[in-house]
Amino acid sequence: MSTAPQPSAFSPYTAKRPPVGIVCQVALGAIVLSAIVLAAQIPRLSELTVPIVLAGVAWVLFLAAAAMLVRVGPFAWGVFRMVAVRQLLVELVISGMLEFVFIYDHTPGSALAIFTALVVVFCLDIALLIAFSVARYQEPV
Amino acid sequence: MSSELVAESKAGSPVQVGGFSIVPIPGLIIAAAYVAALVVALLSNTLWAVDFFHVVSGALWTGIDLFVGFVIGPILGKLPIPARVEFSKRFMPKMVVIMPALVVATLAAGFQLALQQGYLVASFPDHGWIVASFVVVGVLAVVAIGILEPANLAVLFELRKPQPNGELVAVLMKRFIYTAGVTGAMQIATLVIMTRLATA
Repeated sequence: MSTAPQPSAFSPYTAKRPPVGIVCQVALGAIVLSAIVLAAQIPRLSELTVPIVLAGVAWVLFLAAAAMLVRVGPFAWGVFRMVAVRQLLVELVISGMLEFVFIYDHTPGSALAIFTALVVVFCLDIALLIAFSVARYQEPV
Repeated sequence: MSSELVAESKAGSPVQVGGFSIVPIPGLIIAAAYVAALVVALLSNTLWAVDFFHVVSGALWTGIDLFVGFVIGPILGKLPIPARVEFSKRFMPKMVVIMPALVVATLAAGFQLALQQGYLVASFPDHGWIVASFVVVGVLAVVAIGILEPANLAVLFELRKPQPNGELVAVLMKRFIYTAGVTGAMQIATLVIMTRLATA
């Protein structure tokens, strides 16, 4: 009988993971680009197609990342939930402040609607990105 | 490289890992007070108060980024791993609280200031500089929130383990080195744009 140590069944350090992080980062890029195009036009909004398309791309990428995460296999879901909830609270404070400034400064309705869609996907995307980045290296419980 | 950070230092004493708070509660209270003061400033809508939060927060954000990237970072890179761990587990939790508060204050006050001063309208002679500042902030946001913050928190969680994986920590910390140039360039661009706008 071999006395060599048995290889571990699962290691979070070597486990293959779907590219949730990269997809979330690209989504973040789309969010930021959309916000730049939108903010550059305030208060006169002549071109809304590009920001709307970019916001849509961001939402699609976020949902794709979330769908990939659902099929991730053994995963530290407890750590994921803990980090995601706390990160979501942080992002809500940050986004809430920005949204407050937009409303307070009478940002036009169409721009405010797109900003709000961006702010919501921003909060969710960042929470997913950071919680995944932490939980992927933790032992599944 | 050793896969464990629980290593003997040169003096022979083992490095203590774990047992630290990732988000320091006293720091959260200070950050909350800062954000509350920001809300009061925005509601008062006085030029001085809004300008104060934009300039002070922005200067601290830029200064800290450049100082950490080009002074602390290279020093840290030359220290032995146990010393890096000891520094990081005290330093990084503070950054987790300080930087988001500074960033939100800079952006929220900056947007209101720009609107109040008429900088946002396309007819403003230096509107191109305003758009350039949006791009700079956008790049900084993607680097800070999308690349560095996830690595920062993953490192902190790893360092709390009884036997952290040194290779993983080293790989994640390399993100700070790779992005230091981009962050530095963007912060210098910020200084150029803001001083240009302030003297327009």
